[in-house]
Amino acid sequence: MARFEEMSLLLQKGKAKDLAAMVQEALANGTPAKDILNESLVVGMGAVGERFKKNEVFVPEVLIAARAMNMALNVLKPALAESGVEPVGTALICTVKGDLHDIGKNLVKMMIEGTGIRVIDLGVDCAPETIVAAIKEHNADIVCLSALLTTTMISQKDTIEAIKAAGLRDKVKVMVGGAPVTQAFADEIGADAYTSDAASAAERARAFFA
Amino acid sequence: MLRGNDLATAKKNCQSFWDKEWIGRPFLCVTAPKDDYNPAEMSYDNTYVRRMADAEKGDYTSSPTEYARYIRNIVHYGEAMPFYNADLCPDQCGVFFGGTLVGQPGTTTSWCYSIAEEAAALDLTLDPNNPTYRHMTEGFRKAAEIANGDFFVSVPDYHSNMDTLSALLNPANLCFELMDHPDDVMAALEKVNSYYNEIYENFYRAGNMEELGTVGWQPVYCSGRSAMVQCDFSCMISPDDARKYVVPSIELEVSHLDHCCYHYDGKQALGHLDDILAIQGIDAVQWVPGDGEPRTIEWMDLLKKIQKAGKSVWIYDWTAEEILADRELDPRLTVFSLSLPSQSEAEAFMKKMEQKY
Ligand code: B12
Repeated sequence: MARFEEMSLLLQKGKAKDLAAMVQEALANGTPAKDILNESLVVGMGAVGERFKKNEVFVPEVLIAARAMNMALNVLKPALAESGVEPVGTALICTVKGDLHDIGKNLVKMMIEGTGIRVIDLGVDCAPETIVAAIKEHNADIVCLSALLTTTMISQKDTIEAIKAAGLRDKVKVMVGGAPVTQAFADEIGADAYTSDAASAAERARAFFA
Repeated sequence: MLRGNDLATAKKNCQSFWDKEWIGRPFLCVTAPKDDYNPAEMSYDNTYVRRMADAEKGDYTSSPTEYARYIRNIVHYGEAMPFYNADLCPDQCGVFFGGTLVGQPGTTTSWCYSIAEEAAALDLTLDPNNPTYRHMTEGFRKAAEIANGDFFVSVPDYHSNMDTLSALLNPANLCFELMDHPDDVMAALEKVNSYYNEIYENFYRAGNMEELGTVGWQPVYCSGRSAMVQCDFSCMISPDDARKYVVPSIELEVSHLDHCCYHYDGKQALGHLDDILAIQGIDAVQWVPGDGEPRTIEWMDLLKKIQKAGKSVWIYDWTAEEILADRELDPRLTVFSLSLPSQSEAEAFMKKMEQKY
């Protein structure tokens, strides 16, 4: 019998090695990779996101849970590919030009990945041209732009303009976030969604595929 | 001192601020350009990047000399004092312990690049020959010489305690270390903290603060040792971790100072409010809600809570009208900073404030 709940708890506690070993064991016992993903990893990461939102856990706890999730996903990936489990879509994520803050962005990335969306991380200090090129290359459905500085929020706007200019605006949903960003700002620059935390970002991203 | 001939009164009032004595109005640090200011002397490049570039060329005098010219054009009212900022980076303690100082091209700011991933890998011995430490010490000395008692050299914005480790490891790695190797973090923190007094005294002496007193990043003049204390990294961690790592560090720093103000940065750090307010030696709190958040005037409950805990609040972002209209804050426990566009407006404002109380 697969120990989904135990795996979910290991993820929530950030016990990466123990989790990876248990995932390996579950696979060896014939548990479908998709079930491990959905019944333990996605559930576990969702729980972490909720507790983070409620200030029950904090950045260090979320970071180690994300690290455990990453390690478990690496174990699962070959099996997922083999069993033909397709991601529901593709999201690009980055911190915008001029900005090097990436802790929030990485959390958003892990949470979105946890919902079964493929996430491609373009890193920090990402110019609009790079993002436009990546949308084409990866045929992205969603673009997530993070900005932590008042001076770089404007790069979110520039990126949306560049996406428009490239004729791709109807093709992708744009999500924006980061501490200084507000719903009003998101509306002003014509983004499709804004959320104030990573767990809500993941819910919102998933809702685009509903 | 370019403070004007009421310097003695201003100093006395500042002492009343620390003693929490009523001076007939709230404490006010008001500045304005003089009516006959010289426009050519007003635009002075006051950035980290400039001071860094100067220091690398061995030029410790251009910037304070320009400041000396600039500050002659400014009038100070109430408790405001003229001070020159000679810091080279926000995360300077990180740089003193070997972090790489980098100026961000095209901007005015600089910061400290991390140099390791794990706390155990850090060599936390303070090397007095560290180039930035030397540059800054020399910069403080030269600035104090040029000031010649006309203005203060600002007490540094240290970014000590956990902020130093956060700079040296980067904040995400410090988060991982807190979970993976808490004992190493504690050992590293104790090492860093053990240098606070030495670093403080170094700049205290270099900036001639022993003779003149202290002011700057912490806005109210103190005849002895004062500073801003803070831990920006605390916005990342749980109240339990803050109690374990941050509070004792702040207590240690506070014990070295005669007076201090806590720089409270960001809504995410508010979970630690009660613990910070419980620290006896903190005299005042500067609340910085962060961009995208409402201004401090919208946080009246929080400001009142700080005052209720017996601490003063430093308000830096209200307009003259808002200050004049305020009836909610306890004026005994409030200091307002305000810069006004002209001498006449500043004088009118000061008069109205005197009349109000
Ligand atoms: C850590 C940090 C750094 C680290 C960054 C390390 C890293 N790898 O990320 C370092 C030391 C490098 C740094 C540098 C600087 N920083 Co800094 N930094 C911070 C700090 C302390 C925490 C930020 C953080 O990680 N928070 C935790 C994460 C989890 O929160 P978050 O990023 O907001 O993300 C959450 C949400 O916003 C949301 N979200 C985030 N992205 C997205 C994206 C989408 C699409 C969605 C939907 C949601 C979403 O979900 C996340 C999780 O819930 C803040 C202070 C603070 N109180 O926030 C200052 C702060 C952001 N920094 C600031 C400044 C000024 C700087 C510097 C210019 C200072 C300097 N000279 O050193 C440089 C600039 C460097 C650059 N070009 O980017 C200012 C910004 C002021 C402003 N608004 O303009 C702040 C607010 C501090 C302050 N009060 O002055 N910084």
